[in-house]
Amino acid sequence: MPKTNPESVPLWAVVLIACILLIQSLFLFIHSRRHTKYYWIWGIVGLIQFPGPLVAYWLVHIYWPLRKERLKNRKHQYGSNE
Amino acid sequence: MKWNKEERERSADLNKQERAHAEIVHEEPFAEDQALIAQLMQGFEQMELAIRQPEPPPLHELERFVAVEKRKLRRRAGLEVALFLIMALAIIGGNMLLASMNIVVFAVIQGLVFVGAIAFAFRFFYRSKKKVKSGHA
Repeated sequence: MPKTNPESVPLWAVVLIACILLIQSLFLFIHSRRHTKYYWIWGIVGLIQFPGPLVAYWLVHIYWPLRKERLKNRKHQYGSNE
Repeated sequence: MKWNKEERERSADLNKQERAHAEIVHEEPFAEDQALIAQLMQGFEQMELAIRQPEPPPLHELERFVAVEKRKLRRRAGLEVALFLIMALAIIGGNMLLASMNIVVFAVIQGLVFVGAIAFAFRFFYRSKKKVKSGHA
């Protein structure tokens, strides 16, 4: 098993990665708290990797509902015109 | 001819009598219904008199209740975020330790989480599409 030399990763990179992960997971936790009941899962998954969970969350809870709403509105619009 | 006339008069009399009898028979239940309705209405009126009008709760009490509940919710949210931050520090620390100790395992975990998250999103996507197509909620 290849071992990483701790000195090969600079401290600023470690701090930067930790900050990015923390911000991402906090966003996921706080945002999903209002929209779903699985906010702990989203928060914890957001702590492990970047940007996979963020992309998945955006697709599932932001993009898809918006798209659905837009399609519904369009249908209503055409329905009233007919 | 005379006989016929008499017969006709008799049948007309009979018809009249029958009609009068039918009216009496019809009127009797109608009067009974009216009496029952009047009784029922009286009962309702008595009930309305017996039940006193509920007073709406004072507005300031409601406002106080809402404020207390809001404060509770905010405190709970703050506690949850604090707990999450503590857990976050532990998980990030563990991740960093893993990365410094064994980069391959760390990379494998990262890849798995990435693939899992994207797969979950696409699964959700196709499931929703199927639901929309089939018309089920």
